[in-house]
Order: sequence, then C-alpha cells, then structure tokens
Amino acid sequence: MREILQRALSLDSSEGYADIRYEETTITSVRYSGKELVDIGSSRVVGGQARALIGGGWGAMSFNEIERAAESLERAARSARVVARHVKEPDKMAPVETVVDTVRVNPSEDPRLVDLEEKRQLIWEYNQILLGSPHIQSTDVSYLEIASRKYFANNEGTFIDQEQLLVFARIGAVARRGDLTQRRFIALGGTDDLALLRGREEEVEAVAREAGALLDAEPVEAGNYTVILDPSSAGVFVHEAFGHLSESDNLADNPRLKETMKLGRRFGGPHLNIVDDPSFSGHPGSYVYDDEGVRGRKTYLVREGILTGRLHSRQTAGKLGEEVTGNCRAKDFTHPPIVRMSNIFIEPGDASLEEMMASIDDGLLLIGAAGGQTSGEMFTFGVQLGYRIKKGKSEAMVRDIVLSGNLFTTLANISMVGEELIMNRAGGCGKKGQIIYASGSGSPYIKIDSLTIGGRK
Amino acid sequence: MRALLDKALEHAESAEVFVSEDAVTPVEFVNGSLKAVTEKDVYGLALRLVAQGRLGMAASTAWERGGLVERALQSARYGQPCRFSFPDRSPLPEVKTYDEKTSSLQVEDLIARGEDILRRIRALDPDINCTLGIERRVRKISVANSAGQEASYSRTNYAVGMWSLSPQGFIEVPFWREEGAEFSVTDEDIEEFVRKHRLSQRRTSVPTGRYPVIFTAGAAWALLLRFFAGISGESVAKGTSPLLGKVDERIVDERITLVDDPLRPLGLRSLVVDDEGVPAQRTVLIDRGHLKGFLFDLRTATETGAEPTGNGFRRNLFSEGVEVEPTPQPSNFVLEPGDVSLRDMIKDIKRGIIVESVMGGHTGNLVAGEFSLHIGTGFLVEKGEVTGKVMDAMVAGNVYEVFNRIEALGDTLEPTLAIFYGFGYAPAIYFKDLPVAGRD
Repeated sequence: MREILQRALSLDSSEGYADIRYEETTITSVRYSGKELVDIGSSRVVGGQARALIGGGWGAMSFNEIERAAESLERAARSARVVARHVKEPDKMAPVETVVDTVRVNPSEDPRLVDLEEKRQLIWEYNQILLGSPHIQSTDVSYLEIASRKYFANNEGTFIDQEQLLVFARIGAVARRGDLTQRRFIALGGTDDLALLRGREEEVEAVAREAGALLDAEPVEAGNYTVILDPSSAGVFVHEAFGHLSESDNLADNPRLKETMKLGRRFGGPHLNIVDDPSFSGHPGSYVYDDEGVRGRKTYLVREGILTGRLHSRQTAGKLGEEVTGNCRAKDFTHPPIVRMSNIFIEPGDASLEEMMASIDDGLLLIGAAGGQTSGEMFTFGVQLGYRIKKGKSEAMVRDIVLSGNLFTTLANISMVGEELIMNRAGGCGKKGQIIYASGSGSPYIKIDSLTIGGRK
Repeated sequence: MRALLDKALEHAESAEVFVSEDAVTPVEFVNGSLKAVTEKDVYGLALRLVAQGRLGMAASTAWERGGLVERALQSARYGQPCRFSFPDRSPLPEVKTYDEKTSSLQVEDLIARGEDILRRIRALDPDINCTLGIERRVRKISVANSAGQEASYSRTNYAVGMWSLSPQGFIEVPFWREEGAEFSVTDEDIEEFVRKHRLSQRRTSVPTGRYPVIFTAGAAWALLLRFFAGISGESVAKGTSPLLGKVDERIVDERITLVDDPLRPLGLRSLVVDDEGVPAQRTVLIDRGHLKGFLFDLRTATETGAEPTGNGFRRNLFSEGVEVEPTPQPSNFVLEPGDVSLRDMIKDIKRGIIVESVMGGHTGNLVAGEFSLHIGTGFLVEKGEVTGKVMDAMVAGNVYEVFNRIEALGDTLEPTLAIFYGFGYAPAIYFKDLPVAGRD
C-alpha cells in the first residue's frame, strides 16, 4: 500500500503539498426497534481521498478504487491550481516531522473476532429487559462496531498504517400512557473492547424504570434556573458550548473571531479547566494519529479559567502560526478532514455533589444528555430528566427540558466543579455534513448559577 | 447489477440491488476569499436478500460481488423472518429530476457565480464579511430486484449557502437555498440579506412571556419534522405515534394541508422511485386540517397492513448512503402555502418575533410533537416594523396544539433544510401567541 500511495503522490513538494488517505472500514450493526430486529449485518466502506494544496489553494477528490488514486490526485491538483488563481489569503501547512508508523489495536475482547449471532444475542437480552418492564411501549436498542484500517501518505514522506476500532451499544426505551410518551436512553461501551458491553443489566433496568417514572413527572416551567449538570449532560455542554468554538477552522480566516477568542482571555473561574485529549485512551474519541498523519496529544483549552489553547489541523496551525494538535478528522473517504474535538472534558475540581446540592435553595438537578447544537456564541441542548432542588434537597422529577445560553456568560457562571470525571460512552457529533461517532466528552458534576430553560408554561 | 442479483439468487429466494453514484462539486469561499474545491466521484451498492425466509443485508463502496453476497447471507442466517416482498415491475411516474445545464456546470462556472454574489454584497456594504458555498450534485440511483422491478433516475441539485459574520466573528445572518436545478441569487435576495445584517447590529432581548411569532421557511423544518415524526410509518409500527386511530379526524387548523410530493418538477428531493424500488407517489398527509395518511417503507407498511408509499430511503437526519438501512423518510415534505404576504404578517404585529433559524430542532420529544427551540436568527417586530435582532430566547409548544391556533400562512413556498439535508418546502407560518423564554 505504501508503494501504491507514494507512487500516486506525483506532486513534487516544491510545487505544493499533497496527501492521500485510503480506508477499509467494516461497520457492523444490529438494531432492535421494539421487538423487531430491523438491522443486522455489516457494511464495507472502502475508498480514499486525495488532497492538494498549491499556491495557497485547496483541491480534493474522493474515489472508490485504489487504482484511481493517481488520477484523483491529479484532479485535486488541477482544482487547487484553479483556486490558487483566485485566492486572496493563501493557506500553508504547519511543519510537522515525517512519520512512518504502524498502529494496531489490542482490546481484551476483540469484537472483530466475535460471531454476529453472539452480538445479536447480547443486545437482544437488553432489549428483552426493556420490553418486559412496565409502561414500555417501544425500544430502540442497537449495537454498532466500526473497525477501520486507514492508510495515510503525503508527499513529505509520511506513511501511516493505522487500525481504529470503536464498539458501543445504545439502549433506549419509550414509555407511554395515553398520548404522553417519554424517552430515556444511555450508551454502553465506547472503546475498542467488547467486554465493556457485557453484564450491564442493572443500567438497562434503570433506563426502563426512569422512562416509566417520567410519565408521572411534570413538564418543567420555562425560566432561568440554578442547575447542577450530571457528568453526561455537562460533557455535552462542554462539547457544544465551548468545544466547537475551540476548533480553529472557523477562526483561522476570521479576524473578528480571532479577536473574540484571543488566548489569555478569561472564560471562567480558577476552578475551570477544559482539556481535549485523543491520547486519553479508552474513550470514544481516542486515537493515535489524525487523518493528516499528526499524532494526537493533550491540549489544555482552558487552564484555571484562562483560554490557553485551541484545536488545529495543519492548515489552521499554519495560518495562525501555532503548534499542531492532531485534531483533523473526516467521517469517511467521501469527506475532507476538518478540525474536530477528540475527547473533550472538564477536569475534576474539589466540590462534592452533596455540597453542590446544599448550596441550592431553588434549582434543578439535570441528568442525561439528549443532543445539542451550537451557533458559536449560543448553544442549546436537551436533557432527559431532572429533579427540582428545594432547600438543598432533591424533590419531584421534571421532564421536557431544553437548555440554552450564551457561551461566555454560562462558562463564567460555572461556580462549582465536582470531584470525579466521568466520560460519556458514546459520541456522535455532526459538523459540516459529517457525523462522527468517535467523539468523546465528559465532566464531573458541575453547578451553573443561571441557565435558560425553554418550556410551554 | 444484474450479475450481482443473479449471484445472490444462487443462494436466495429473492434479492434486491441498490446502487448510488454521486458526483459532487462544491466551491467554498471563506471570509470573501476562495478557499477550496472538494469534489467527489463515488459510488456505493447495497444488497438485500431473503434466504430461507429471512432477510439479509450488506452494503459496500467496492464492487466485491462474492463478499457482498456472503455477508448478506450471514446477515440472513441471524436475521428475522422477512414479511415484506420486493415490489413487482410497475410503471414509474414521469418526473423532471435532472437538469442538463446544471449537470454541465464546471468548477470555473461555480467560482464565477460565487464571486458575483460576493461582489454584489460588497457593492451594497463593503464591510460585510461573508462565507459562501455553492454546491452542484448529480446523483444517480438504480434499483433492481428479483420480482422484476428495474428503475433508475438521476437528480441534479444546486445549493447556495452563505452567512455574514457578526462583529464578534459569529454567524450573523444565514442564507440557504437548494433546488433541483441552478437558480440565481437575485439582487432582491442580496438586498434582503444586507438589510437583515444591518438590522442585526441592533441587538435586543425580550422578557419571558407570550408573543406573536412568525416562523419563516428557514425555521419551519423544525415544526414540520415533528409532524413527520408522528406521520412516519416507523412510529405507526412502533405504536408511539399520537396520530394512531385519528385518520379522517380534524387534528389541526383547516388551513393546514401537508403533502409528501416527490413529483414536484426539479424539486430539491424529487424522484422517480424510492430506494426500495417503489414508484414515487404524491401522498396527502393532512388535508385541510384532517389527517389523511402516513408515510411507509416496505417494512413498516407490511407490519401495519398498509400499502408502501414509496418513502423507503437510505438516509436519516445525519447520514445518507448505502450503509444506512431504508426507513420511512420524506421526499419533498410540503406545507401548502396560504394567501398572506410576510410583509402583511409583520405589519399586523405590535410586538413579536420573526424566527428565521433555530437550533435544537432535532432534540426533544419529536414524536409527541413537542418543541423547545433556541432562536438562532430571530428579529424583533415592533409596531409593524422589524427593529432588531433577538438574542437569548427560546420558543416552545406542541405542534398539535399550536397548529390549531395559527393566525396565517404565507403566500410563498420556500425550500427548508433539516440539519444536513433538504427536507421540503414551507411558507411563513404566523402564530398569534407562543410562549417564549427570554432574558428576565
């Protein structure tokens, strides 16, 4: 493969930069919708993308067969030369050391070696637990295994042959009474190890129980609240509210945003530390090399409340004159790699959950992320359930909770950070038409002094 | 395709082959400067078969006949009994989905169109910073099965997406339009875009309360998506749809007519046949307020005893491709227009909000019709005039309630985009009062 790719990389490095990625990915999935098995089997995603950066302009071309690598690179180079004629602010790549490396995964229980029927049986049992629980009308239980072998070569001499493996299950239940339906879901696994999906009956039972309990919960009233976010929802909060803004592709060609996100700006109190780390192994966003052949590393985005770093591709690092971070990834060969978070999390502080609860006279404890979105300065995300907090005590359950807020004020309003970091077990992040499952997030419990919650009352 | 089908039928009772071929050319301008041309010319294929009565499936982006059949057979070994059958050969509708001129546009043509748009914006306001993308796609879909169906069509798409930047460098005003053929961004479109950008420089917030609210097409998808969630054969089959047993009942205001219309000439998701070989058809879902139908793929139609409506597609809100199993999805999901201009709606409002884009449209209890949306781009209306941009606000409700209290529907249909993909068409929707969580 190394020879094939390097032969196809015909662009001389004196004219510009070029790379080719080629991947062979097997996606194995099993999904139950209620009692119906609606999906079982595997897909093969095989193909590549050639990129060229010439005269500061980019061209890229995606293709299926490896035999088309050379002509695709020529096509990308032709586009890049056209772009170069119009470009006003030429791009350049940050320098990195040439790498030749092979990466293999080595999980304690390798899902690639386990029979499909055994995987079906595993999630069938979880589905049966849900279906047999009171009030459960329907379920959505799925197994997803993404096993890749990725090759990367560029015309600087780098060649990487890398395995990546991610396996997780989603466990969701819908409870119904009359016209009222309520949903609760969790994820299991989120690493290269199938063993983490086994023996999780208690958590699955809790999903059914909480979905049923939500039928008796009251809809939350709209307004501003003091809240405690659990690690799951706080992880999605830091991903949506802050993480996307730390991705430098929006900023590299945007002087105003660069000013807004000036390193050294204060974002929160001294107890706030935010990190992105692909080398933090055992989480959905863990990897060794990104899709530009750059080794992933730990990046402090916020340290003691101060903005100290951001995430880069070689292009954004080159443009901004900063160090590469290894955060440039693509969904698959049909998309160009763009700047993405890996595992983003808030580092643990020193507050206990009890202390946080005791400090709240009237507020909400919010549990379980349910997806979110950001426009840059504003973010929104759903939460699966909550409890009213009155005078430091958790009271009635509330439902239908969607939060939103301004990034800057909300980060500044984080007043307490808990003691234990817990990472989410599944990611799923959409950006520029590309959804990536290998995306991790996490946090300890955090207390935020004011957040807007939407609602019908 | 034929060879793959034959190979599958050596081991299976029935089989279906699906092939998609995509040629995509996007040009991308960032902050007024051309940045990249990121093309693709790729294909994918999917095989489904029934062996010993069980459904098996496999997909690939490589022509690997043997491997595909083997994996589909393995899937069938563990799969459950297949209750649906692949559709017979049947006549296909005549639908205009392909435009030769759009298909033949070159990279240089797209660059010229992008530069022209940016030049006209700069002529009106040299200080606006814009990011702009123009994308031309040609997609060919082919489906063939052992029951005799064999169909193929090509669709062109042309999309223009852009946004201006706020003084802090965030998205200020978004603009998005997509059709099945090239269109021009008119001088009026550009004047409107620049006017909104300038209005946005006056930022304001509203206190929590009830307000008149207009959803324009850019935000309407989030409401229509909730109707779709209840109308989808998936939620009918699961028994979670709140619309079960309500056919012919009046469920919303009598001015509401909702249709799934794949036959619209050069529509953004017009088609001849769905991804399971079922001929495209126009399906009335809500007729003057009365529930009329649901959208089914083969599986959910069989499970519920309904006829398939030609809505089995290999995509969801976030992914589209051969690796996605068919589920019920809309083609062009169309809310029929009314007769009131957006201008007259605005004139009618003493103090209210125009919502042009939302965040969080995909989260919450969709099937139940619940929405709680962060207003991404929204404008304050005071005494019939647009006076500024609304920040920090959310609007909430349940579509089955609020569509009983609509004030008016706009007279112009515009395309609407859900997350990544074109979703359908909608007019402006004017509600007399909706709860808004603002800044207190």
